[in-house]
Amino acid sequence: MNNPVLVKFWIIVGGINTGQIIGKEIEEFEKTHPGIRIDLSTIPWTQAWKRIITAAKTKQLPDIFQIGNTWTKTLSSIGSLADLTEEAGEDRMKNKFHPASWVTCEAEETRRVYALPWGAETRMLFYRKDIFSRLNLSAKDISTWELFEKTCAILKGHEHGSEQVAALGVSDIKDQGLVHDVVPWIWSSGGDYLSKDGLTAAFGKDEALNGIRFYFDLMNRDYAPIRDRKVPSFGGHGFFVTGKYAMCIAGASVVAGYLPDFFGTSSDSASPEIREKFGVTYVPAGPAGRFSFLGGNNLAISSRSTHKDEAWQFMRFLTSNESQINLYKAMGTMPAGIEPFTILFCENAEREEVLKNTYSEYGRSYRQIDFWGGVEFIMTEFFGNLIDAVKTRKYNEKYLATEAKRYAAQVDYILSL
Amino acid sequence: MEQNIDKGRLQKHLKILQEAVRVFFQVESELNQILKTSLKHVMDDIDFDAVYIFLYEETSNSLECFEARMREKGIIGGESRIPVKEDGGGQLVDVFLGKCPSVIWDDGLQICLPLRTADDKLGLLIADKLTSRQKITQEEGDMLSDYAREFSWGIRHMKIFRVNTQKIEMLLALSKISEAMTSALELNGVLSIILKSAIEVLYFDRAKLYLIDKEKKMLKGVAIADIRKAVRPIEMEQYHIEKGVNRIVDSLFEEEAAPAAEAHGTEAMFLYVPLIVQNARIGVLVVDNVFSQQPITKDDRESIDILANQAAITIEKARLYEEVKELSIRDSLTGLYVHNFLLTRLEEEVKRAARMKEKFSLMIIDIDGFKRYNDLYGHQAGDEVILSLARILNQNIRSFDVKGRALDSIGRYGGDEFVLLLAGADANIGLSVAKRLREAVKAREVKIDGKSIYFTISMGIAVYPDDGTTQQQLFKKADEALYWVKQHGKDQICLAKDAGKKDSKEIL
Repeated sequence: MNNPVLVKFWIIVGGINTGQIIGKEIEEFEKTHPGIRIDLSTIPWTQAWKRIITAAKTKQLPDIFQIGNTWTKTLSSIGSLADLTEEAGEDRMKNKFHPASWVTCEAEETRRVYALPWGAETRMLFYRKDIFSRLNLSAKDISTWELFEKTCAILKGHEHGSEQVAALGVSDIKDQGLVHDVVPWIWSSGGDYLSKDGLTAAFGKDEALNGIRFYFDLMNRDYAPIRDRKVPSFGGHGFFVTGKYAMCIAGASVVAGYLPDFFGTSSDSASPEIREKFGVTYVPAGPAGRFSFLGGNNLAISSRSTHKDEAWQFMRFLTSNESQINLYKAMGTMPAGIEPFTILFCENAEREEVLKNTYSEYGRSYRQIDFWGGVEFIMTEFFGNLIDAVKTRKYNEKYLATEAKRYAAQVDYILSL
Repeated sequence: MEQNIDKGRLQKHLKILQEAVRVFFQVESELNQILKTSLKHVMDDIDFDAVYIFLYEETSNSLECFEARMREKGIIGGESRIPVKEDGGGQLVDVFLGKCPSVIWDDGLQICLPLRTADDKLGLLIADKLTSRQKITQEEGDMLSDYAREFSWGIRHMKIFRVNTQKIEMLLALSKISEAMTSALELNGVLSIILKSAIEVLYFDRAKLYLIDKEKKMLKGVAIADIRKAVRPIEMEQYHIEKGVNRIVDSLFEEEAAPAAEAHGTEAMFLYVPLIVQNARIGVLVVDNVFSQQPITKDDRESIDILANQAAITIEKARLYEEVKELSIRDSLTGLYVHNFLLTRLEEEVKRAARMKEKFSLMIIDIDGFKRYNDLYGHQAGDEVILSLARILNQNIRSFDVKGRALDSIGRYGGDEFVLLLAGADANIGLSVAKRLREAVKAREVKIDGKSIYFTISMGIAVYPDDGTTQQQLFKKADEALYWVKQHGKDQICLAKDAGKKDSKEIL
C-alpha cells in the first residue's frame, strides 16, 4: 500500500478539551479513509489571527484550517484560500447550511465559495429563574430595552443568599469579544458600525451612539458592575454557579460549559435543578428591533495545498451531520448545518425554541470586508476605552461622543486605503 | 533528586528526558510540533494528568498557553492567557519573573516551574493531577524540574536558531534584491523591484514610494503595491515639502525610520523610511501592516532599512540614467525629440493604433522662407524663430492622458522642419490643430535686435490608416502634402489625400 497522504490541519481551540474531541473525529475519519492521515495542530484563539495571517503572508498555511467567519473575505482577497465553488456546487453544499452562516463563506460580488461553515454561535439572554420568580419577574419583563432597564433597577442590590445580586454580568476584557458584546445594541437601536456602502464608519452616528450608550450606561449605573473587579474577566458566565448576577448574555457553547445539556436533544435533557434555576430568553428588542450577534467559524483550504481533494474529503466529513452532532454533544458547538440543527433541537421545548429563533430570525453576522481585521481592532480599542472610562468614572456623554469621533476617523482612514 | 529515586526509575527518567531534549534539535520541525512531542515524553515519564507550556508573548505582555497535553487522549490545547504585571500578577507570574522558584498549589495538585535561562525568561511549565486527585510528590516535582531546565535550553536554542535562520534567509533575499536592482536600469523597473520585495520578501502588507520632484519642490507618490494587488502607479498624490504637512512629509525631516513618537493603535503599524543618498533626501518609502493588523517589529525595521538604503542608491542611479537617456533623445536647441526618437514613437503609435483600431495624424511643419531670417539677421535670429515655434507647438499639444499614457509628440526633423504626432486624431482633428497652430504662429512676435518680426508655417498632414499603415508610408505622404503646399504658396495646410488636387488650396 502507498504511503498515506498527510493532510495538515489547524484548529483554533476555545476550550481545554477541544483538541481531544477533534482528535476523536480524526480517528473516525482515518478509519474510513485509510489513504489519508490528518496531522492536527492547535492554536489558541488569542494567537489565531496572528498565526494564520503570518502563515498566509509567508505562504505556509496548512492544507485545511479553521478560521473565524469574519476572516474569509480578508484571506480570500489576498489569494490564500482555495476556490471551492465547483466542489461546493457539485455537493449542493449551500442548501445544507443556515443562510446566515453560508454568507460568511461566499464572496458577495462574485458568489465564489472559499470556505464551509463549521461552528455557529448566537447569543441569548440567560436569567436566574429562582431570583426572577422571587421578585415576580418573568422573561416578559426583559423583552424590550425599556422593560430590561426597569428590571435591572429592581434586581440591583437584591439579596440572594448571603450576597447582593447584580442585574447583568458582562465582560470587561478588552478583546474582540467586546465588539460582539456591543454591536447588537447598535443594530437594535437602528444604527450600524459601517455605512451602507461599507466605505466609512457609522458608529459615531446618533442611532449607533444610542445603542452604545444604552449598553455602557448599564455598566455606568452598576446594573452591570465592572468597577469591583481587580482582574478583567468574562464576568457573566460564572453567575450560573455563584448567583452573583441575575442575567447574562451568552452563546450556547459557552453555557454548555456551565450547564451540561441545557440545550438538549429532548425536552427533559437538562437536570430538574438546572431547569428550575435557569431560564433563557431572547435578547431585549430595541427601538429598531431585536438583533443578536451571530458568529462562528469556517473551514478553509489553502490555495497552495497540494492535497486539495483529500482536504475537501476531510472538510466534508467534519461538516457532516454526524460530526456536527458529535461536536455539539461533546463541546456545545452549535452546528452550522440545517439538518444537524433540526435533529438536535427537534423538541419544541422553550429553551430550544429560543435558540432556534435567535439563530434563524434575530442573529446577524458581520459584513464581509477586506479590512475587517483593522475595523475590529479599532472598535475593540474604542469600546475598551469606554470600559476604562466607566471604571475610572470618566465616562460621560461628551467623552462618548469625542471618542466615537476619534475612532470613526481611524476607521475611515483604514477603509480609504 | 538522584538521591531520592531508585536506580531503575532514574534510568528510565534520564532516557525519556534525553529523548525529549533531542526533539529540540530537529531543526526542520516547527516549535509547536516539538513542544507537542516533548510534552508527550513528560507524560510518558511522570504520572501527571495534564502538562502545559506557557510561553511569554512580548506583543501582548502575557504568558500564553502554547501547547498542552492530557493523560486521557492526545493533544489538547486551551485558550489561556496570563497577563504579566510586575505588581500583583499572581503567583504564576511571580514564578515567571523569578520572584519565587516554583509553586505548588491547589492542595498539592498543581505545580508550576519557570522556563528560564540565565539571559531569558521564556515561560512556564505547569502540570497537574486534578483528575486523579493524587498529590504531586517531591520526586515528581524534581523530575519535572529536569524537564523545565532542559526545555528552557531547548526553547532558547530553537529561538536563536530560528532568528538566525530568518536573518540569513533575509540577508540572502536582500542580496538577491540588490542584484536585481543593480541590473535594472529603468526607473519603473527599479521601483517595481523595491515594492515587490517589501511585500514578497519582507512580508509587509503594503508599500508606497514617494519621490521628491526637485523642480516643483513637491513630494510625489509614484508607485504602490500590496498583498492584494501588484505594483501600480499612484495617481495625483503630492505634497508640499514643509514640516507639519503630514506624517509622510515629516519623515523627510527625521533622522531615521520610525513610527510617529505618539504612535498607537493603527498608526503603530506604519513605518516611514526616508530614502537618503549622500546625505540628501530623495523620497520616502512607507510600509504598513494595517491589513493584517500586525505591529512593526525591530527586525522589520532593520530589514526595511537595508532595503531602503539600497533602494535610494538604485533609484538615484536610475534617475540619472533616465536623465542621460532623455538628453540623448532631445534636440539641444529646442528640447524637442530628435528625429530618431520620433521614428521610435511613430513606430509605437502605429502598433498602438492598429491594436486599438484608432486613427492618428502625422504632421510635418516647415517655416516659410526660413533661410531669409538667417541671411538677414544671422543664425541667432534663425534660432530665435525656431525656439519660438517650438514653444507654440509645446503649448498646443497634450503630453499625457489621465493614465499617464503619452499622447502627442513633437520632434525636430532637422533644420526648420518639425514633426507633430497627434494620437487619436483623424483628418478633421488634425486639420483643426493645424489651423490653430497656423494662427498662433502668425500672431507671435519675435524680437530680434529690438526689431519685431513675424513668420508663417506650412503643414502637410497624413492620417493613419487612411494614408498609410507604416511609418515610411505616412512620412512619405505627409512630406508630399507639405511639398504640394510649398509648391502652391505658403502659410497653408494640406491633407495628404488632397495633395495634387487642383482645388485643395481653396479647401484649406
